[in-house]
Amino acid sequence: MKNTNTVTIQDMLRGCRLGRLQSAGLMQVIPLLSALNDPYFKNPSETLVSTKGYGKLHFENRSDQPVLVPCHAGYVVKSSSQDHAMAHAGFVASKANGQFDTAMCIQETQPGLISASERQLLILPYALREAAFEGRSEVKYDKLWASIREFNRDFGVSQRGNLATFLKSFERELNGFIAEFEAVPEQVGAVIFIDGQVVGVERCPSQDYFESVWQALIRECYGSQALKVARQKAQRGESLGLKNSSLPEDLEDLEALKQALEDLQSQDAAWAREQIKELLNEPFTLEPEQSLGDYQLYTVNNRQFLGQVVQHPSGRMPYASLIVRREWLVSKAWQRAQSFSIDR
Amino acid sequence: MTDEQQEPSQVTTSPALRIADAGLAFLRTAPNTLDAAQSKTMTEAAQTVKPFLDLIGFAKGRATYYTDKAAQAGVEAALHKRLFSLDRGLYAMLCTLPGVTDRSRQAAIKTLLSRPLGRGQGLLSEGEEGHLVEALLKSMPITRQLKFFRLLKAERLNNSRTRKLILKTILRSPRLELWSTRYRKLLRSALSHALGQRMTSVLRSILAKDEAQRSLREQRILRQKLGRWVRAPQQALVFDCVGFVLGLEAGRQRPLLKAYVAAKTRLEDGRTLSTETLEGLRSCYHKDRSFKEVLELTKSQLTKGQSLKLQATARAQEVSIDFVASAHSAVELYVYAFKQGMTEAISEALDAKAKKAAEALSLQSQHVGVLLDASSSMAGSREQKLRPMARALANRDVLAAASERCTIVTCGGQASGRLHTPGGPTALSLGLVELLGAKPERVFVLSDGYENAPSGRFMQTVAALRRLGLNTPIVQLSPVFAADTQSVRALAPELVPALPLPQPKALALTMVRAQLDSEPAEGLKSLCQSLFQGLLTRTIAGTKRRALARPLEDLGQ
Repeated sequence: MKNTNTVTIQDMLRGCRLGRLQSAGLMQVIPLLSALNDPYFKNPSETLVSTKGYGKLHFENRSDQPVLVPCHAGYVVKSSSQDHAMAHAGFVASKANGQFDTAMCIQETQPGLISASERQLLILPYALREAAFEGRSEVKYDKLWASIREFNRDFGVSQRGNLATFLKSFERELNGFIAEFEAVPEQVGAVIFIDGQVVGVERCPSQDYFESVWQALIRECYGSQALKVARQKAQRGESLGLKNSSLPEDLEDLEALKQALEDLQSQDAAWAREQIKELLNEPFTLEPEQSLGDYQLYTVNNRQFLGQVVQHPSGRMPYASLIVRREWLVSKAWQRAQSFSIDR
Repeated sequence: MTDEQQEPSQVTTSPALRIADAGLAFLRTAPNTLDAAQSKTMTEAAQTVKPFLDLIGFAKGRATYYTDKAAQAGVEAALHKRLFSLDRGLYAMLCTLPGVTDRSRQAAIKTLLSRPLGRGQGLLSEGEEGHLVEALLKSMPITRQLKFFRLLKAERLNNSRTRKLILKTILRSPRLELWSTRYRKLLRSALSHALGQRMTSVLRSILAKDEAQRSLREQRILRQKLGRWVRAPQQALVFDCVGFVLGLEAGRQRPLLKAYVAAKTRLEDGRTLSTETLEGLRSCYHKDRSFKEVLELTKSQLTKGQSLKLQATARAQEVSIDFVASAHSAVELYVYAFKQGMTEAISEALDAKAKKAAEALSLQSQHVGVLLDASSSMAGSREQKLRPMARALANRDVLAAASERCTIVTCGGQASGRLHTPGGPTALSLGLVELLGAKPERVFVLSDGYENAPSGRFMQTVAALRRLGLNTPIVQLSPVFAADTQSVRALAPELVPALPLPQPKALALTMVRAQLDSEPAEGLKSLCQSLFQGLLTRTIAGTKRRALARPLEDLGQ
């Protein structure tokens, strides 16, 4: 039964403040900083991950804390076993096992089950996450293959449903994002932009948790989207850089240069605030998914975003993972397009 | 003959780079000026030398934050091949420069051994090259030398020069007795490769006999195969140690060899052995005893490197081990301090090392500016945790010690005394402007080149400075070598030269490298002459092999 309450991004980001804008290539990141940490949940880095059947991801939590498996967590393994990913986020109680039969195979041509071990986390590429959300309740291990095939085709790699092919082919480019977008002190989340458009909002329960998932987010999830947009722009003959504000050419002295740099910094900060302001108050509907103790996992959506949040009865929301819908981005592109003119 | 062992006439070189039939021999006469042809050739040659210098100060074969192992290895091999083809003598000499990694030296030794000597030899004669190869090998820790021999064995490199190098290195060492107990397996592997399996077996049989029972022929075999490498008074020691290495434990004469055998029965009898040797014996023969007992028995035998690495273990075992900070490199000390905390002893050692390394630089009369990037990416990869930042801090100290006055601006991170823990974004532009406000005569930017506040702003800032007429020389020094660019990631390509940031003792190498950018022909000439005259003149004068190692010490090795 649907919960009729609504939440906003303003609710989700309670306790956060904006960090300094980071910008490289087509990607921009506004860090979300907070002195607040909700230590209730642990990340799954020390959990033993395995598959107990195709489409059945199993987590063995040996710690005293419950684990929050982040939304669309994936595992690409070197052994001859089929890579898998979650279709949503999930709780695993302390000193307990959790199994998610709604998981998805992300390696069409490789059979075999993953043996239990600590595994390196990835987060599904942005372009796959909406399809993953839509099929999140379905118990069907091959539900993402068609989307992965299309994703791989867009990148000119194999047309099979093997995510590993893309990851291997673009390993060097993806690694670059890790170095370019560094986690900063007190960072618990980020708002991510690609080509000047917001594409995702991520918030984690604590700084430790954020550090454990940030590489996967900036690399496989949003980094892949930046690469995709860059390819599309290159194919259209468009410039690949963002128009970052430039220094004036007519500076008189060092003091003027210093002032100009500070002005640009202020402009960057103002731009960041403006972008966030537009997002804050649009309501999301909530659909309950799973609960653990006092915490409840919801799927949330509005016209622009789709994602999942964790909420405590007190109202605090220590976790949010939201992506912008593809349809929203397409309609924004139409809005931004130049008006028709016979003079062009 | 392997693919790599080509006849000299088949070694291909680019006509543009080959320096006539005389090679670089004209440099041996120390010309003051180069004629037009020589200058042109040296300028071309510098284009090959520069990326090689960038590589040899860095290559460790590990994945970096940004590139994987296989990509790194491919680039390294290509750069080695190019410089060898230019001039094998220059190639060998460059690897003697302080700060060159052991991996690069190993690659060079292998290349030199596997390529036959011959006409068109290059800048060095056969004898000079031979002495240099020995010196390169001896500059490495013994474990690396022995593992290198194992690599030669795996690659079946077994020509006479290789065999001679292995036997001389092992049998002439004054530490052969100690090595025999510590590195028995590695020594056995190396000796059997150099001597051949059959001869090794023959020698074992002979050494198993008492001296009095050996026939004249057997004594002659021992002398020819083993004894000829050492003076007569050392021969008995060599025979005793080689016998032990080949598995003969009964009847050993040397104290450490006897201690090894005795410790199998009684652990305490092994107190003169090294910690890891006795620990190995404990784990096999005295399982009821603890590592703590081994540590207590052997702590006086710990090497300086071991005492550093075992500090944390020793503390956990409540065993106190003396730690000598001065025995470690500045980068190692900073990495250690990040983990265990800075102490007065470490700080004093860092100051002393910086002062010594600073002597090789010529910045004494200058006001130097240092812009230190302490953003998160300077924390390095999982494999090299905090090493880029440690390297930057160590070089910061050298630059400060080398100059009359030093202004330092740090961007990002968190300071704790002289330690700076990296963290946060990379926003170097305002830092650069602040630094230039202090009017330094030259600026060094210590950064890995990744910028995101936003990317490109540093380059815009430098362009704006040049438009203002501020032409202070700026050099970027990066602690990370990226295989994809065969060099380092530049913050402002074409405006600010970007060079690798080496170990502090090799900062002078970086300065040389910078000179190759600004004056390639003269820079290369000075470098070659300095290497050749400073190092090899002593060898040509007929001094012992050890004298060749001394110049490396003089250079702060």
